[in-house]
Amino acid sequence: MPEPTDADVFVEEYHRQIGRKLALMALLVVGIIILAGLFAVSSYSSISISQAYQIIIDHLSGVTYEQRSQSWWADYYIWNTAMPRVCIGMVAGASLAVAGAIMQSLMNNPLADPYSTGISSGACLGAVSSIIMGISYSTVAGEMGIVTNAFIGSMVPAVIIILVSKRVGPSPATLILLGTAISYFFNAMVTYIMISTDADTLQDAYLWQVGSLSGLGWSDLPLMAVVTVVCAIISLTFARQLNVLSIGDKGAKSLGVDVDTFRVICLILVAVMTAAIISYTGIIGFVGLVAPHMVRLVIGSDNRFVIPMSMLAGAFLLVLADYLAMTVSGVSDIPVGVIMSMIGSPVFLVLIIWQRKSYGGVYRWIPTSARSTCACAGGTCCS
Amino acid sequence: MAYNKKVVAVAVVIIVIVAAVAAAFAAGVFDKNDSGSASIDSQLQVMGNADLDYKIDSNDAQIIQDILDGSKSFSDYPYADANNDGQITQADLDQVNSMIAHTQTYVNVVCVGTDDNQTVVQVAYPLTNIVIQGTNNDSIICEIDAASVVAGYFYKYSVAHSGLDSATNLGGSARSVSATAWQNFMDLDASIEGGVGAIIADAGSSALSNYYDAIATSEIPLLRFAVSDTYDSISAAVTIGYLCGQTYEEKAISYAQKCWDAFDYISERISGLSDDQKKVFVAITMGKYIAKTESDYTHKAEYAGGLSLGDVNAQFAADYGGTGSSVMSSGEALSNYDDEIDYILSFRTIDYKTSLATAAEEEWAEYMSFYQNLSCYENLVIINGMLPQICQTAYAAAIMYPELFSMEWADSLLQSFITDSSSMGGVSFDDIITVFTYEDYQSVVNA
Repeated sequence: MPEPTDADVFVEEYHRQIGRKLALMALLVVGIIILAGLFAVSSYSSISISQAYQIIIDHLSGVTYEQRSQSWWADYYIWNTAMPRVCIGMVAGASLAVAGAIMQSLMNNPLADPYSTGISSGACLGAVSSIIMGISYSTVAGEMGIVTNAFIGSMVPAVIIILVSKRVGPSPATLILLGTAISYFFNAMVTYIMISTDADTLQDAYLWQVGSLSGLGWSDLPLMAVVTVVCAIISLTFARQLNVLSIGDKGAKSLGVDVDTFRVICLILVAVMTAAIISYTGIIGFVGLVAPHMVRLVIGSDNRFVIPMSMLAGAFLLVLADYLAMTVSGVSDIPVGVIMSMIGSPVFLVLIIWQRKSYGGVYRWIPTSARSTCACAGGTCCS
Repeated sequence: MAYNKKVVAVAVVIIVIVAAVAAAFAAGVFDKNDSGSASIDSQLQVMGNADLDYKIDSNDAQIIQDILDGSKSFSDYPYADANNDGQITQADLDQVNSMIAHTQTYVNVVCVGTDDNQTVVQVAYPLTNIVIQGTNNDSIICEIDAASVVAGYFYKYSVAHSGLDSATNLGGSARSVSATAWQNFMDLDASIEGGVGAIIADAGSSALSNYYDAIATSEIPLLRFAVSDTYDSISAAVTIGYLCGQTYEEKAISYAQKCWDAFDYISERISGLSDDQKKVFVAITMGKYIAKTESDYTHKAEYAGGLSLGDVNAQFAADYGGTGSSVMSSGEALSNYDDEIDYILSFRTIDYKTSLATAAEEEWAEYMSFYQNLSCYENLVIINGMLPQICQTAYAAAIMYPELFSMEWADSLLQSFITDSSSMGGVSFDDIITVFTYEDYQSVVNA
């Protein structure tokens, strides 16, 4: 039998890649649909999962039920409790995952996540100062006041980093160090405020930091969704430049990328995406860190596919964590941030052990004749 | 002739007396109630009760007629608007006449809204298949014997509220309604033809706050009544009794009469006390929470003639002013006021048929560390919050003023409630811990 030619191998590899991508996409989409059904059943436990799907479909089709019948109650609770939570989980997970993917490519650092620039600590300070001290940067009161405060607070570190990096240069190391320094400072201020308050208020402030999707409804979704969609579209247009950035600043510059400006623009993008989410949900960790790595493990590191797939993976991960948070404790919701950390940590360990591809390297097809020589970016083999 | 003059004189006297009595009746001097002597000063909280007394009667219809005729002003009688349409018309008069005849099909109830402001809720009349939230409401339903109207409850005490045993236990706790309990409620509502008639809830509780949107969307009437205060609880009982139908209306009025008779008795006896003679108290709730100066628990003891510590100590009034209560972190909280306190009145809910030993452990020993270093520790008294509200006030009066009120009198008052209500757990008087004192605790410890 004649040996397959390079072209045959190429075609086979190409189909395999496509297959992986499609399989991963299908798996994640089906997973989200299954979780939506499980959420529906948990919000109204007197119906079966098939009835839950039927009610969801009926609602989308405009079917109504006799008021206060079992189906009516099920429809009310599914569409006012379960579905908003699923949708918000999807949007939040997608946004944080994309932000994480961008940060990891931007910083050339596998440990980078959306909070590496101190955004989370800024949001914490804004929210905590609103909860404990009633300090508000706006005239908005109540729950929306906390959201507004958190959003404004989260942009402060981003602005500081951008202004400082303009003077010293926005290299990855500089950005990480700046983010760390800002985080320490803001966290110290948060700690000071928290130790000066009573136990009940302290609990409220602490729970906000842990991150939760409970209590959020349809009215909270529009801003998150709009920001996520717009920023995700912009991220996709930046995918090629992010790929180029993975070969290093000098290489990227030689290929025509204005690295400094591009980095600043991406930072702003990440800051806005992250702030729009965590100002509502609190700090939910690990989504932005783990989801991109999970995706790269299967489909490689090409950001043209990593970014959209990370959205799906982040959505699936966060909705799964939220479902577990809701059902593990029989008494009351555990904040999803806790569950996400419990899941994310071992998953991340596994990914570190199993990972064979460079985190930021572009997976490239290697001709058969050249496979004895490692040619992957970053010096790691990609066979 | 002398004999005839005598007969005429006697006849004149008799005629004068009869005429005076007739005039007194006409003036409403004896217009108190069927059974008692005190005036029932509670309000039936429904639109159409133009004179805001405890019942719908011809007086209300007359007021509405007078408004229609122009001799009275609507602004002086806001409750005259029986159909709650913002104006007084013939329709209001027709509605009140149907309410007098008990033939109306709906009633507009004045209660506390979910925003804690006054609101008007329309309910079908008579109410059926009600669901109760709040143990104070459980008690009222049992005390007016309306348990048969109840389809479900979120929580009750097992003995005191055993009259509700035939209703569906939806789950939940005394202070919260869990998701499971709410699920059970939805199932119950879907299973009853016509659905739940109304939810009767405690206005002082936020247990249903997570479900207000669902209740509003489903258009289930939510009637929130203030039932923690002694006076308000009687008005709530009168209103709930009225809404449940004529039989329960009469029971509620009888219940209110007993309460007001007791109030009158207490008021008469303490009216002569000067502030110097009054006993200074601190009210406690939930074992270790100091009731603030405007708390319902403070009011209960004030109705009994007590003087709140906040009225004699400006610092206490500043620290604990307002409604609600404030938790004590340690026994130091009251030590600053030790010299001025005569009695510590702790209101704890103790189910019937609870043993003295259990009460000693769960109610006294559990919280004694907050009080045992105070000089007034031996005047710490636990008053059972499960008792009818007026009985709690009666026992507080008997504790603080034994020279004016005997425990036997307070006991007899409670006995009258037990006798008149078949829904109060079917218990005998001896099954109930009414008050638990230092001496009771010592007797248990030394036993």
